[in-house]
Amino acid sequence: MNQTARHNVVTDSAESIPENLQHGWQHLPVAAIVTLYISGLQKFVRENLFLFFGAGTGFALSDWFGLRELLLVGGFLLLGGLLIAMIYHRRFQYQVDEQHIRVRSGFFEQKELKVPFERVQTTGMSQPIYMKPLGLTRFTLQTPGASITEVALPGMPSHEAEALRDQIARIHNRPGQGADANSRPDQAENDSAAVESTRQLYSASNWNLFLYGLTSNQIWLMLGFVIGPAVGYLNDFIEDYFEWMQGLALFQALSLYDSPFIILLVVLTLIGIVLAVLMVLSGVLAIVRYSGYQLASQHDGFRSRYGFFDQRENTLKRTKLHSVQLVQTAFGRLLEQWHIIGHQTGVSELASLAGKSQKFMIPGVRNDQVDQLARDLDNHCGTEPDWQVIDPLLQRVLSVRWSLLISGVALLIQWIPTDHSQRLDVISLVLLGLNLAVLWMINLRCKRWGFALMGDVLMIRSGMIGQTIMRFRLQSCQQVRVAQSPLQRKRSIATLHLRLPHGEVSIPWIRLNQASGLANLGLYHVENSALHAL
Amino acid sequence: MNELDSDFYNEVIDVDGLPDYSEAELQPLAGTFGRYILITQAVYWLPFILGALVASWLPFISSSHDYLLVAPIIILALLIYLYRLADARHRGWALREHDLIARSGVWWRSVTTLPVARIQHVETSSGPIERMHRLARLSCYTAGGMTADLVVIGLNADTADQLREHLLEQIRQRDAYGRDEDALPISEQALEEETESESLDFLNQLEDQQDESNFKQDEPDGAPQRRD
Repeated sequence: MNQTARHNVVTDSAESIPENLQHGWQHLPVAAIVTLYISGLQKFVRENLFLFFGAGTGFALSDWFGLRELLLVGGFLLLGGLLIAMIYHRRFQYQVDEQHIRVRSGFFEQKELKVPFERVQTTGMSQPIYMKPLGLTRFTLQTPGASITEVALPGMPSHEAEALRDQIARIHNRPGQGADANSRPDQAENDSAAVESTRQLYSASNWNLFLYGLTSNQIWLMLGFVIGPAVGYLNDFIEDYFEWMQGLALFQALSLYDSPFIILLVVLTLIGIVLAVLMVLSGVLAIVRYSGYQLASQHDGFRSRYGFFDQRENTLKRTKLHSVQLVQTAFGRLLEQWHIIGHQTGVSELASLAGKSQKFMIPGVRNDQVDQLARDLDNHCGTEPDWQVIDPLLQRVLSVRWSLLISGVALLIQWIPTDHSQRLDVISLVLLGLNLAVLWMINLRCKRWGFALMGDVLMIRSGMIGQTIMRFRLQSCQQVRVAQSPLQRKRSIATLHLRLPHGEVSIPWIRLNQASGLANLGLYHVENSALHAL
Repeated sequence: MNELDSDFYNEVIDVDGLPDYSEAELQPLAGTFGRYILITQAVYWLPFILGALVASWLPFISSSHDYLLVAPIIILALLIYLYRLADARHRGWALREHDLIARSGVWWRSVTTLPVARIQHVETSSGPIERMHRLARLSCYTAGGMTADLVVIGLNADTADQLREHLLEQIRQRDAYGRDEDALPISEQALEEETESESLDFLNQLEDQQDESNFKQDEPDGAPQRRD
């Protein structure tokens, strides 16, 4: 079956299932072995990175393990990997019919999985750069039950993947289309209707992506990775540098070790340089990752497309998007940058900890775009939110609690019997300074906390310098809890916890009647809506 | 239980007029739960007390102050027993037409409401001592969660079974109607109409069944008060 014939089938057939897909079990294309091999190697290296490092130093130290042995073991691993990829390819089969996809896979034990298209909530396509010349695409499906990607076809011909995606989208549209004029099975009509209703919501320029990279929190992660090993190195470097400088005639006059401010200056400059390099790196990484980001709305959901080396395309059913998180980091506030995360049913916190979640991410959103975009996402044309603040008592309670704790520690330190009582004084002073900083942070945080209700959409805002706004429809709550501590009971204050499918959100310290009113309203929306959790 | 009779308002959402979860009359735990706590605590602490008694016979511990070892353990056990009793006294549950309410906590109190529409499955479980006292616990699970999302302990075993059956029946009916997520709210209405009378009957029946020997419950001073 050649390519053009397949294409005809895709566009002309009434049911638009590629003919080859309709016919029984089939294998991935042979070229997929290459992609399986490469992604397998990538995975192997990623999972055993630490082992590699450890082994690397071990081998370097031992004399008997020379280059020849290394090559042998490496070659053996590479060949073994190829064998595994080939066997995996041989054992991997899939079958598509009108309503279902079945996948048979497994190395030792054959597993068969049947997924009805109706249950699919997101489809994803990604094309790492090595797949492009082979014309292959990795296709993934997510259903609400599983917290991680349930079905992955690790290398389909790209046009087949697209056909499959369209087919699933069509299955989703069918019930909703009953009222529409597009319900006729005429495929050409259907397709043009689909094209018509696709609306471009947002696209990110490279500059915005770069800014996103600067402001995103990944820079702190990178800093963590870099700083550990770097500190030792930096220390040596600075010492050498000072010795070298002292060797120069210019600095002979002032003894550097006696002037702490110059040392401080040098250290700060170095830290600044490292930070700047990391920020630029982070910005560039963001450009590479989200290059050409485009978000479009379709009649039943959203589609995002991005990536430079690894081109991805994600679709998300509108009904599966239960909450929208708007995030502005501290740096983001300075640069007027936001990013938006769409949370979907079934993607649990645990999965996101394991780095496996497929968050629906919209990076690099400017201040003036964020509101409209959020409204587009939750399909709510609300008014300006009327933010309600939390009770000021919380700030007092937190301030007293932390001040007592810190000054208690400061007092305890004074009691330590030692010869250097002066140093203890300094430590205590530093602690008191810390106390002031903590009070300031508590103040910022309590001022930021708030909620706003617009129709059935609840927004919860939190944060310190940056801010995070969680927007969701009350009917996506799974559980409602009103909690009170003894002090809260005395003052008729309560904390409201709402469990959403991806985790819990809370509004702390609001008046009891607000909390129970929101709880009742939430329950009313849940119990009165046709939209169930799944 | 009058609150259960009133239906939701359908058109304009008057927040103050909504059924208030805190007005639902909570059922106390089963009467035998106090004895169950006593026995479990006794079983738990007995080895420690025996160990402390035996310890004084050991050669390397001076035998003149037996009580120093035993007394703290007994005091601790008593305190924990009293705490568990107080905890049981503050617990309560209620089944409304559309949700299950549970209250817990002695000092830090909370009222949890789980809509039936969000329950994925329900189970009852009981240990040997619980079975001796005809007690059971009811766990409700929602989608996505790994652990039970709402556990009601200290239920009468029959009540727990009936509750489970009732909830499962509701889930079955919901799933039968609400299979299609994009469907119009009509299905929900149909569901309500059909199950309403049935579930109300069930609720009344449950109420009648509550025997007089229920666990004595503190009238909660600090339980969520009525809104003004």
